[in-house]
Order: sequence, then structure tokens, then C-alpha cells
Amino acid sequence: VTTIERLVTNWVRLYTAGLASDERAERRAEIASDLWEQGAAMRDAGKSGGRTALAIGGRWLAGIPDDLAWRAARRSSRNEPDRQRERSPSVNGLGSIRSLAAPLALAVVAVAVAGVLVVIDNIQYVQQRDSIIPTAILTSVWLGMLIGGLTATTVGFLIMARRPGAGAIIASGGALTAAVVTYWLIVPPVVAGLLSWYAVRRARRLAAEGAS
Amino acid sequence: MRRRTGQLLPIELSILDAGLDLQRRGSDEFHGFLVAREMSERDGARRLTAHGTLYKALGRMEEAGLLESRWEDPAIGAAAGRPRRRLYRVTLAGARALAAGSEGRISAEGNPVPGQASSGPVPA
Repeated sequence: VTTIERLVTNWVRLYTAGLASDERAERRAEIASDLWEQGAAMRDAGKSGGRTALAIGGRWLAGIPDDLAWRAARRSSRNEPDRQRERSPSVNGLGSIRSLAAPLALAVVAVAVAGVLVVIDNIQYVQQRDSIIPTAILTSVWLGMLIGGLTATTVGFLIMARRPGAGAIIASGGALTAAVVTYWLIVPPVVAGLLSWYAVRRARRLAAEGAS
Repeated sequence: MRRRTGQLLPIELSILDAGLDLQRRGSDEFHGFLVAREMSERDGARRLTAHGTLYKALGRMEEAGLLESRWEDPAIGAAAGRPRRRLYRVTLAGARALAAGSEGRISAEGNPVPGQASSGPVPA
């Protein structure tokens, strides 16, 4: 493999990176075949290595704008169904898995952290120990979880019209987070439970309206 | 280059023309480099069509049904000591589009398009 062939091959690897595996493999194989055929044809015609490199390099450079345009077209054609799915949420009201992953992970982490805080708080209370975690930090985190949870609930309801699935998860996650850090007050957890139920119900209705 | 709906670009006409000519001369199918060389020889061009331009056009034409392609059996390439080829073939729709496109060019320019004088069997 000559230097110019390696250069072209690396370029093809670069602009096909991130495409579907079959699309990527086909383009790479097709260019590899072309490079080999041109090299063989020029060798058979008695051309020098320098002339061959110049010819291949010229074809490569002249085609770069079209390589980039091809890549952009592949990307946009691949993204179009995703965008349509996001505009028209699925019938079950939970939207695409990809759109749900981030808010779901955020909600799980928030609830998990809140749960750990509650457990630590209870151990301290039962054992009547001095605080394992400095009170100022515990209070700050507790307040952060409460404010963050309430904010997430509000944001979830606000974005629900556009993205019902993500909105429902953010709203429910926020409400449950606020509930966990205020569990001993009884009323907030009940309200949070009702809010979660309402968020899911509203998201399903919005999704059904969007799909029809 | 912006085109009108259904109108073929010059490179597409050139690929169809060269591909059909190769098929008439006995190559049942052709690969990318072969058609690029054929186009270059017919046009008297010093350079072959650029990789990006050629394969973008071939892909677009296949999507439009003007060409069809298949990958060569890897064993054949391996036996010949080269990478496997993607083999193209001009479809009936491609041949018809070339005929329609050439008529348009002849009537627009008043002269036949170079390489259009030969007429052979339309591929199945």
C-alpha cells in the first residue's frame, strides 16, 4: 500500500465514521477496490509510482467536496426519521428510547442520591451519633434536591406538550426526588405521587393527540 | 448542480452511456474504476472522475433505479489477489433515461451527443 493510498483510505475512514456499519463498510470497500484497480492499471501501462500517486491524489482531492456532501446527505437522511419521531411521539406516549435515556438517567440518579441521604440520616438518628456528614453539607444537598426536584417537576410539565415522554419522566423524577427528601412530612410524598400519576396520564393523552 | 425533476446530470448521462457501451462490448457488469476509465477515454479527458464525484453519482443512480449493483464473491477477488469489486449494471430504466436524456440534449444543441451514435440492445 502506497502513501497516497493510505492517505485516501484514512480520509474515507474519517468521513464514513459514525455511519451505519454496512454503509461504512461498503464505501470503504468500494474505494479500496478503486485504488487497487487504478494502481494496477497504471502499473500495467508502465506509469511510474510518482505519476500514479499524482493521479490518485488528484482524484481524491477533486472529490472531497462530493465526499462531504455525500456524508452530509447520509447524515440528514438518517436523522430525518428521528426528527419525525420526535415531532410525532409514539402512540404509547413514551417517545423514542433515545429521547428518554438522559432524563431517565437523571431521575434515577436523583432518586438514588436522595435515597442514600435518607438512609444516612436514619442511621444517624437511630444511633444518635454525631453527624457522619457535616450538617451544612447535608442541609445544602437536601435543599438542592428539594429545589431541584420541584424545578424538574415544573420543567417536565412545561416541555410535555413538545416531548410528552421526556416531560413525564422529568416531572415524575422531580416529584419523587422532592418526595424522598421530605418523606417524614407525609403530605409532600402523597402530592408527589399524585403529580407523577398525573404527569404520565397527561403525557399519554398528548402523545395520542400528536399521533392522531 | 441544481437539476429539474427527472432530468439527468451530465455525469449521470456519461455513466449510463459508458456503462451501456461496456455492456454491449461484452462486460456484463462494470465496477467503478472501469466506468471511470471508459468515461475518461470517451471524453478524451486526462483525469478520471474523482472518487467522491463518481461514487456519489453511482449511489444516487442506484437509488433512482437507473443502475443495480451487487458485490462480487470475495473468493473471486481473493483468488485474483485484489479487493472484491462492486459490480454495476445499467437497468432498463437507466437505458430509457439515457435515451430520453440524449434526445433532450440533441434537440437542445442541434447535434448528437458524442458517444450516442452507437445503438445496441437494451439490457433486460
